[in-house]
Amino acid sequence: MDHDTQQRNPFIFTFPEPLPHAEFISRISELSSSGYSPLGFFGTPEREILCLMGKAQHVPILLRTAFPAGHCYPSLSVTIPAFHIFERELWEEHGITPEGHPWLKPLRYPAGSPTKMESYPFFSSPSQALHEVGVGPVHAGVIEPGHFRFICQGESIQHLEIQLGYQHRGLAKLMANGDLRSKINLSEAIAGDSAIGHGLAYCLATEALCGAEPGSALKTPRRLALELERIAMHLADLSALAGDIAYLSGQNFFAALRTTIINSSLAICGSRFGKRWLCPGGINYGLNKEQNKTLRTTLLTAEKQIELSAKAMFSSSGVLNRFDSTGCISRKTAQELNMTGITAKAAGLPVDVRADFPAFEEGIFQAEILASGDVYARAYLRYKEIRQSLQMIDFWLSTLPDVKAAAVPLAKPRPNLLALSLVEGWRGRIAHIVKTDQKGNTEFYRIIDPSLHNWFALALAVRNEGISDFPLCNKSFDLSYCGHDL
Amino acid sequence: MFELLKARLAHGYQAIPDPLRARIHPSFPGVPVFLRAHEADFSAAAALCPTQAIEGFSLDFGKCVFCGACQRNFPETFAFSPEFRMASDSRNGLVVQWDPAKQASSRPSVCPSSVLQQGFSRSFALRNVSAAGCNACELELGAASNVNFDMGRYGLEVVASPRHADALILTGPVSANMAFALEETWLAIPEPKVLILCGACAISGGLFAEEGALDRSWLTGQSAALFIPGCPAHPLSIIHGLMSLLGRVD
Amino acid sequence: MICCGLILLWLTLIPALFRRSALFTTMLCLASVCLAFGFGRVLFSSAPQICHLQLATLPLAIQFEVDALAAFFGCLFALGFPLGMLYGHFYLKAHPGEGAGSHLFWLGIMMISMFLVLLLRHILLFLLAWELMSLASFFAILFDRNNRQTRSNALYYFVMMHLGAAVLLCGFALLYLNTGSFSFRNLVFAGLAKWLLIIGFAFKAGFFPFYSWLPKAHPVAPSHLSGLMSGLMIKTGIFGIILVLFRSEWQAIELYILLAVSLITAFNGVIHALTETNLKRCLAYSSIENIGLIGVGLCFWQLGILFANPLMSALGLAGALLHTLFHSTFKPLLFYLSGNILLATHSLEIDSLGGLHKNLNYTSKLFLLGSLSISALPMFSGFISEFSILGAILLGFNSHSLASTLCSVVAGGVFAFVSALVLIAFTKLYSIVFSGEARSEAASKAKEHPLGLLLSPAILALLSLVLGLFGKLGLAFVSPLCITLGISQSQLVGLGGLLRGISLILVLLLLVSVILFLLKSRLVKHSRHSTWACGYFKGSPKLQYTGMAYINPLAYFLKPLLHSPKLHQEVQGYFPRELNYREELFDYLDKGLIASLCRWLGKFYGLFSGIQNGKTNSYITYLLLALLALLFWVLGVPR
Repeated sequence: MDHDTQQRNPFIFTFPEPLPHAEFISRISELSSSGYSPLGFFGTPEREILCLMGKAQHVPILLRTAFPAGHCYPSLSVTIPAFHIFERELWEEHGITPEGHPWLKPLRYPAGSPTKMESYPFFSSPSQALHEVGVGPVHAGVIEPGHFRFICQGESIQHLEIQLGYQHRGLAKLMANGDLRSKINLSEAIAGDSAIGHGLAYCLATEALCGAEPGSALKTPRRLALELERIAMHLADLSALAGDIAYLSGQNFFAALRTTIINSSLAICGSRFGKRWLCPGGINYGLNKEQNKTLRTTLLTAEKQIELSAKAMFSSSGVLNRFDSTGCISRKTAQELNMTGITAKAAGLPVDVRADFPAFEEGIFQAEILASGDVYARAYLRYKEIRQSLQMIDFWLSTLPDVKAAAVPLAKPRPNLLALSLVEGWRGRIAHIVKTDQKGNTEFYRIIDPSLHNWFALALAVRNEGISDFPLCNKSFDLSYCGHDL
Repeated sequence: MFELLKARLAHGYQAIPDPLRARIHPSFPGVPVFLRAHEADFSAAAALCPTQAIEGFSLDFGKCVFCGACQRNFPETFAFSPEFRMASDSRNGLVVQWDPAKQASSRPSVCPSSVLQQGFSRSFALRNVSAAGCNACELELGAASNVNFDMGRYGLEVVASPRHADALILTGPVSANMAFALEETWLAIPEPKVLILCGACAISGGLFAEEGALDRSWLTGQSAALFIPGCPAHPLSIIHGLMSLLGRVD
Repeated sequence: MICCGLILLWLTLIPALFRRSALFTTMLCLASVCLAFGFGRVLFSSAPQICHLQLATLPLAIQFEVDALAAFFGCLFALGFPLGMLYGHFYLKAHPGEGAGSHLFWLGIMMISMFLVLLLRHILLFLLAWELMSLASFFAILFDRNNRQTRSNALYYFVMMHLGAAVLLCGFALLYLNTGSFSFRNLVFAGLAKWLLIIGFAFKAGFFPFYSWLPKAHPVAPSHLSGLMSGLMIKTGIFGIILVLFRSEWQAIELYILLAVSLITAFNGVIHALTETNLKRCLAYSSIENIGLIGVGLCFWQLGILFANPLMSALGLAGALLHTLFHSTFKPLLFYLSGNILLATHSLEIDSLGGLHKNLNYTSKLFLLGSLSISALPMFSGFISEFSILGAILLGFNSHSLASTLCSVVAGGVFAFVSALVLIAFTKLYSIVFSGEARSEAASKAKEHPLGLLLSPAILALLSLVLGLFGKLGLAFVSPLCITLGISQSQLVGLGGLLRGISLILVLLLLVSVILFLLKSRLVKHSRHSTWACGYFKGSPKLQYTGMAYINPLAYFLKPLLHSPKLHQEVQGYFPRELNYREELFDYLDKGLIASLCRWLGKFYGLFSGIQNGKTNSYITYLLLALLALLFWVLGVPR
């Protein structure tokens, strides 16, 4: 294989030849029917459309075409619903209209967009027996902003539409300006609760483009950091879910356990969220024998307590009453709408970057899957993933030598290459796509947070649920507003 | 039920006995400290700083995202003490200056607000507006009410509606799309009210300050009562800052 | 005095014919004053007056009897009519309809006939007056005669009234057969007759299952007429029922049946009031509920006699009469205000109203007072009357008599439940119509009316408040009749004492509230800001409850009783195109029983349609056949 391309995560592509538009579309349809799903589909500043299609255990395929004549083309979402959000994004950013798109509405309202947020065309019903409820952007708790428009019949939700865009900060532009190697802080701020997830994706993509790769001694602490973040945020979610159903014991048990876990992060790198731990080329803070031992003991104690707390919570009939069969997503829906992470795995769809696109050589990773697709499945799956991550960390810690903070020096990024790095963040598949131009400067930097796909799951899950179950469903997905809005 | 009892026993007593005087792990980056006034180090660090917080011989830790680059690269000049008591009642108070006379750097302080001392010292209701933050400050603010930090014991709480609130605590750099909602929330809080900025993004725009997607015009016309720096602001910093503002820290 | 008044009333027909509404109203007021004086004197002097009138041409002697019962209702009518016409005058000015001229005439006839019904005790004349009342109100309802719905509902009303009159006729016929005299002045009703009479009067009052004309007739009638019908005309039915109850002997089982019917009436009325979306129809069902409550009071009056519990009797009767009186103040108030709303927004569907407290300031405040009154909240009149009736019910908890306790348990339970539902129904009405944002263009453009349309409602609201604060006033008005109907003075004195205590507390409460309110407005700084909407850019009138949504959790439990077919379209697919949802809650009796009855009747008569086929040949054949039959009969009958 060409040294320039890389056949495993993070992937490097040389830019393929542009296809004629019709062939581009037919290739996508072909790949879609043979099990590929879209990892990315977007317009570039060079007035082209790129599409990355991926399938588990296969190398993703990059397709390229120019902007269609007349700036419109027959929409892919009609036959492949997974493209719906990408086509809306393409329409908003570049004005390319997908004809026949069933839900063509603005997505993020970037600066200078012609449409205004207050004139968002909400789906509405003329019936006088239905009323609407609008919540947000400023929500009742300490939570990011977004607007939810319900159509209700009495207390039962008939339809939910989610309007996001309030968190838009223009991250894609900020990531693409300047030296690619200095963007670690910005990438950790894409979604602060997924600092390691996005940070790692950025580091992998940058290292791949610069042609460097840190040694395995430096890789393991990174995976450790990722799993630690996963554990911490899953505990936060379990705590929040318990709080929403007024199971205060669970809320407090898991909140305290989360504090323990993130304080371990703090002890290593100074940040409870794992910020400043990673850097492109390696890590900023190492793990000596002392820290290793302390971490191992802490995690072992925590594991026992997590087990006890989870057992107490998941055997309580009051908890099960609220969780069971609430907010269901079917496997078919998850597959058709390209959902990832907990949302998909709890519905029976086995998608996990650690299994499908492994970035590290050893072992086959087996993702935990549950089939019922309801709040219970998503909650219990979090518990199972916590245990899985704890076991992995324990294994790594047992074999990890003294690690000092170190980073492989990075040369200037190589020209005319496209890098795709995929990371299984705790919400799902994070994809960073970077392209360099002929001078090695960043041409564009695309960030695809798993929430981009998964927000729609919430809108579907609450149909025919009581409106009082909405906060519970929302927390069971726990999606990122700022990851969606960038 | 027995499972619940077992879990409860294992949980133990989780509240930090005195959050105002707690001890935090030494690796926590708190108030920046200058160890010496080395010009070359300062100018090199200024070039490295992702938010241009270092200028001359000062570090504006309202802009600082505590990335640690200056400390890791120039450990003889820069250090971050594990001092989480970082809040200030003025923007300038967040600028650490090298004081040649004392051969040390300045420290921030909070002068209690007399208005708040009178009416709110035992019950202070906050309304959070999250305006394009990365969610870390929101999680930390939420954690300040959890079983460990428990700011509720001091009468500090985050309330659901601005109508019930005494203060607006802002997290996030304020995107253009959230500017209207922020102002609406402020107007919906009855007098007397104060504005509290929590986190580097809220104080100065943080890493996003240059990007055209922000709209901080409303903020520039307001005078905030409290600035709590950090990226994200640690719950202990938040609690200490609020308590100082209420005059309950001796 | 009374004759004076009656003559004046007849004279009001003249300006009515000439469509001089102002003159009509003034003369009516004068007439009413005379009548009120006359009736008042009779009522408080407790000496029944009898007045003979001999018309030269007719062989009958028309005898007017004014006893306490007639006087009570007479006073009520005399007070209610001028207030109604006061409103009506301005309403007709603002809303000229197709039949404005004859409308006043028929109104006059209706008022005269209502007084005549009270005064006449001759069977035929009474029935004549009764039918005249129905006829006159039928024509008066046809104010808006171009509307198909109005015509069909008015006809329905007329037919129902006729059925009621037919039953009355049967009842009176039986009486005549038994006693041989046309006068029922001092008669004791017995046997089948009393039941037929009760049913006949129940048609008019609106008891279950004879009420279905009420929610049809009231919404299509012009608002002043709705108020008059609901506040005064159905009370003639109550008048009749009291008459029959007083003049007959009742067995326990019969009283239980009557009690059950009253309770069902009340319950049925309120659950439909809850789920209606038309403002006037909601008020009409609420009238049915109130009639049910009056019925409960009357039943406890008789049950008190049966269980030898004189206090129960007193409270029951006093409560029923008080409720009759008070209902005639707050129900017309609500109907007149609904007329205001109709004039301002041209719509009575509550789901297209909203936000009217801003535009229709005074109307909304008066409506609030009316709602508080009808929901029987303290400080308003409804509280006093329902308190008395509930007192009567609670007195039945007697360890000696199982029957008494059982009655109280059942009646008390249903009564309490109904009262709660009334409160819900009126909070729904008030909040959907007046609070929030306007749900339609018309509602947002509504403007408050000038004084004329607010005068009558204001007087009624004031009456409600005063009678609610000073319960003894109402009791004083009702006592003479109670005594005439067999209640002892001492029981009433006891009730009076209780009401005095309540008044004291309420007046104190009012004073304290007023003082606190003044203090608050002086000391507290106010600032206004728009409703907190989570910081979203703008509200939308869709972002608020509709009537059905408000009621939905409650209606869920009542659905089996309400027969609701609905068109419900589920949201289809990931990206739905449209969402339609329509839910209508029907009256089982109306759309179920009566509609199918009419259908069968129609089919049955349809069998005979062959006879009336329009062909001259057939008719000639019938003539021939008839002649032949006659021939055979004449020839065949032996001399």
